[in-house]
Amino acid sequence: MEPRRQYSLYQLCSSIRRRLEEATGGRCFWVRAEIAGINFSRHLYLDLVEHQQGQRVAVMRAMIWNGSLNAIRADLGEEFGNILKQGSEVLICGTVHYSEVYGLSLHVDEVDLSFSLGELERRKHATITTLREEGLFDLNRALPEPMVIQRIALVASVGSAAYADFMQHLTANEYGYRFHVHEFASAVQGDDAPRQLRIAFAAIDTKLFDAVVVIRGGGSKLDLEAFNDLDLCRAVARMPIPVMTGIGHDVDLSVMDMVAKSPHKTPTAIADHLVDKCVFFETSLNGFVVGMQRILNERAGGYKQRLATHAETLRTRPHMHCERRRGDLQHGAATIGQLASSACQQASTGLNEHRHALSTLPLQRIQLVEAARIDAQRSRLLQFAQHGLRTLTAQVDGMQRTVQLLAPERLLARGFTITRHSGRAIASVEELAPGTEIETTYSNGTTRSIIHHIDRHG
Amino acid sequence: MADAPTTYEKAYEELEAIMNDLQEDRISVDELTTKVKRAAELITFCNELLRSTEAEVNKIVKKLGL
Repeated sequence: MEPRRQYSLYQLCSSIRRRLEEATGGRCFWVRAEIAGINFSRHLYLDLVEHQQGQRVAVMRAMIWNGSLNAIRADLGEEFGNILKQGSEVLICGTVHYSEVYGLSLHVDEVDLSFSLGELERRKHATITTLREEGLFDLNRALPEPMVIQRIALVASVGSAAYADFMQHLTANEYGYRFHVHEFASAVQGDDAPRQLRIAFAAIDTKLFDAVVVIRGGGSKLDLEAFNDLDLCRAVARMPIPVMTGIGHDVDLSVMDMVAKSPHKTPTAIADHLVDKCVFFETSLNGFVVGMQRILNERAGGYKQRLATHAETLRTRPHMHCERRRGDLQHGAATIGQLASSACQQASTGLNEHRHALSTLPLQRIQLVEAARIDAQRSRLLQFAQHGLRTLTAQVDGMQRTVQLLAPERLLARGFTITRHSGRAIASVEELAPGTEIETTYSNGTTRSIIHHIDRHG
Repeated sequence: MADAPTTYEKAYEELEAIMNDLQEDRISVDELTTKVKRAAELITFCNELLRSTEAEVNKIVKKLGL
């Protein structure tokens, strides 16, 4: 039996190394992977990983030698820290090495910047799509912007240069406008920025402000990632007051810029915009003043004209009135004269006519007329006399009846008596005294009696 | 802080309405005087508000009844 062939570990490992080197020939591979861990000592060590459907399907260590690190740092510039960080999806170029002592690793010579920026764009588009699908994208943009924005909720890293610039531009405006700024402090870059920004937005009582202003001093493209955070952008879109951004970049807009009511390039640009709004508003007010002055002047002119007309009327009308009255009077006088003259004339004519008629009426005709008139009067006198006689007869009859009713015999028969003293009829007790003898006549006899007592009536 | 975020808008709307009224020829002299006085008040209000501190703003808004 053939004896078992034995290798030392080194022999095995160096054999693997040799085979690998033969296979790869020192070639560089572009590898797409996620950085699961990062560790910097003298060199930069990365743990690369690939997930598929949530499962880890590959892992490998990678390292960037100090020498390569400087070149990569120069390549990536300000995005270096945003790309080479835990969680980043990167495209790197490296050679596969196997060390008998350290095992398998990828030695990275180059990191693709555009891939990382592309990734940023991809995530950004995904966020935009989601916001559109949720109907949030245009919410804040659709809000009307107040004519003046004076009460400001400021989301910023308080104390930063951006903050100082913004406040300086706002408070030192040459027109003396006052702005009421309340700060909601938050980090605006770094891994914790999205969370802090969300907290800041949630803390704003929107009833107390005209607008929210978000500012940042500037930074790299990938620094903008915080402003692409889906939850943060949802909160911004849902703000019931306009959100204004000035997060310091020239070319690219973050998603927050897109959903905000008004995006500006820099914090100072926002400050200037706010001051400009005040200027515009105040100019409009002056427009009212000018407009009103014009109207008042026109009106005053109109009134002056009318007053002048009235004054002229007042001056001329009494005179005209007098003139008219004078005319009336003269006309009246003339009319009266004419009427009097014509009446006289008429009367005179009438008299002449009568005179003529009288002179021409025959005497016989006068006698006949007079005879007739005398006859008529005679018959009227006769009628009157007859009527008067009848009336007198009736009156005498009436009187006779009354006399009959009042005859003493008739009265005595009805129970009345006549009292006499010394032959004289007594009408009053005043004529009597106790002891006087009186004679009382009845219808059928007479009595004599002495008065004992007298009662007076009334 | 005053809960009156639309006071500028209200003042502006009122001013616009007054201007429209003034442009009408039928307005009487008395009305004209009243309206011009109100407009002057509103303009002064806005100018003051633009330059007032937060504390002063409350007083001004209350005074004009907007």
